[in-house]
Amino acid sequence: MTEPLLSVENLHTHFETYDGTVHAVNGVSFEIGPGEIVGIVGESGSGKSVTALSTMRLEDPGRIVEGSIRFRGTELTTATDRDIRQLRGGGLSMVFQDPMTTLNPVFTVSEQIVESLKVHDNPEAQTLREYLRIPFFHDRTDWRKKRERVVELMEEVGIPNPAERLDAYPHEFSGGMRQRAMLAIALASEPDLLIADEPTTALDVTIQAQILKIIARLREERGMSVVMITHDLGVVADICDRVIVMYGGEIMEHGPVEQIIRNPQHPYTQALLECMPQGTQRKEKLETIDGQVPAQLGGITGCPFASRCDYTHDICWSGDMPTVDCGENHQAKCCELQRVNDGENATHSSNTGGTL
Amino acid sequence: MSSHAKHMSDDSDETRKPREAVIELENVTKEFALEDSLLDQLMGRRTTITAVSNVSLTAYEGETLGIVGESGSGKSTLANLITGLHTPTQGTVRINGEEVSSVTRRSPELLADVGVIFQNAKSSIDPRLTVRQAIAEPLKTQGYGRTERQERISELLELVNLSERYTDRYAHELSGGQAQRVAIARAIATEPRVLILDEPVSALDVSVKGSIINLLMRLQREFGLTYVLISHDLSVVRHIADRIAVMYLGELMEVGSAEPLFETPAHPYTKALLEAIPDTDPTTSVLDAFVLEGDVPSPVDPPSGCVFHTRCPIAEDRCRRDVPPVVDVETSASRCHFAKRVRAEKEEVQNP
Repeated sequence: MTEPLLSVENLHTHFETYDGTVHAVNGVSFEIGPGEIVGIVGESGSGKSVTALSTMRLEDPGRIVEGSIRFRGTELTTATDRDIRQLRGGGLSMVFQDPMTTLNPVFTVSEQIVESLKVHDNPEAQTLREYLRIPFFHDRTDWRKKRERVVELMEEVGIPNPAERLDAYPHEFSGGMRQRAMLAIALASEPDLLIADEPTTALDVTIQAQILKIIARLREERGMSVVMITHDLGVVADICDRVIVMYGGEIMEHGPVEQIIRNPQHPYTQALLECMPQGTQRKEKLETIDGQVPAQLGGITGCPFASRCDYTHDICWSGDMPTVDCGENHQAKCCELQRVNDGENATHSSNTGGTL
Repeated sequence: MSSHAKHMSDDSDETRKPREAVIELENVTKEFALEDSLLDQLMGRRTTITAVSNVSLTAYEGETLGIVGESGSGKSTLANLITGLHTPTQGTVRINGEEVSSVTRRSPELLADVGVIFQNAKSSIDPRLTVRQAIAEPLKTQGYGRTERQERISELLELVNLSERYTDRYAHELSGGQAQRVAIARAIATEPRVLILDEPVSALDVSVKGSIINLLMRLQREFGLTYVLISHDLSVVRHIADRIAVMYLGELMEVGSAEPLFETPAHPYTKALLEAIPDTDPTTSVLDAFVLEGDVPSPVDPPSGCVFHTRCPIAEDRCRRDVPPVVDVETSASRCHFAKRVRAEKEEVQNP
């Protein structure tokens, strides 16, 4: 691989709460190369979104307590607000899950795209005056000049009749259209890396397929890298090159998509894949993972998955788990990997036994 | 509105023994009036949108009827028509053979017969009630005494696999999966015959989703419940539904037995929906599949002829002009001029 675009090393993000410190991200390391689509999967509470937010330096109210994030050679954990702002306007963009709450309801969609264009051109030139529509005191002549570019962007993300929709407000858009508008805003700054946090979770399958196609096309055309956060392994299998499986704030398994889907090594990845209804005969009982994602208060010793794993041994409850190479660019973090994949019987079969 | 000589029939699989119809919708149409300007109102101009258009559909005893379609296709309106939260503009809804109207006019026996489970369990439980109180509510209206109630609540919690220690918690102290179990316990409290499941697992993680589906399947086996399952998650519908109704812009596009409908759909819309599901099979990708363009058109001004023609990959002139008849293709009834062709093509791909 060539020089990575983004490299995250031993990232620790904590949240202070009344109940104690929550270790949301616990020693996460990965790299994203140019033009790659990398998926991050895991259940709610596994630290996917906090990893993404930390990368954008939007982790507040959390705190990055350890580790480094380097984007195109710039160290983000120590960068000034100003430098980070320039990167967000220039190289890094993010798309969130719920486009209704991320779009500003009182500005038209096109204005919000123009804003992103302006920030890209000149990250320091935003003035309050331009936003307050007080007669004689605001000047938005250069906003109007950017309208052509807005139409182009809207076309690129598949918004039909963009010229007619320039004056539309977010509530006049359907869910899929809003997510496309979010994508247009993210693309306005011509990012090298797009972080998409569950971009299609709230959408219909047909619209999801449209958005995935657009993202794949943008990667082809612009050579843009994408970090795709999702809980749908189907989406990962269809669009990503590599996948990172997270649980309890740690990376459980990391490798090429085909490897992980066909030959998962870590018991958590295996359990996640078995949960998919596609793998089970119609009307048969579905596989489940018993128990809950740990609360991560005060940090976890041992493997975070130990309480739900079928292969748990005494050593799983304490110490650091080793990261084992199990193929080209394929690693799993488990101390019982040998036993898991020798097909030895599980110590207890909570997945198949019990009433449910 | 269009009138059809023949409606979507459910008698396609005659080989089975006749089953008792629990819910029957007959030519049901639901229109909503839009808020017009005062001038328009004075002039007598009213704009209405048709959320459900001339739907006839039956759910039989003990089966799971899946209703699928994109947002805006009228799935939830259909559910609300069954529960009585909406009353039909035209047509009739029958439950247990008896014609029913709005929920406020239903007899206690009838209310007890239909349970509902919504997508977001946490917000469907009153935040000021504990789990025990929430489950007790439907029991009170059914006239259970205090001790009977407590017994029934313990029984219900055991049925949905929720430990007694949760009974004094409030909705916000529960996880998504636990809250959905409480909602299920409350829905089955009055021993209903029918459960309306409106996106019951859409908000849940994949591991929890499985356990809720397992629970629903077990309850159905134990109590012979009839399910009307509304979901846009087609993998879930495929897993538990016996028959499936595909809706688009308020109209039924295809109705048929689940397995053949998924294997060899007889309507281009069904086919497009199925192809858009991402699966973990590395040899197929939605990126290569045919993807429907655009959104569901506005119901204020629905397309002429076949409502799907604006997005249909095989639409011809006659689709824009004529409302397609309902065509029986083996186990399915499909509203498409080319139903037989669509199905044959799919079969060809599978057995070349």
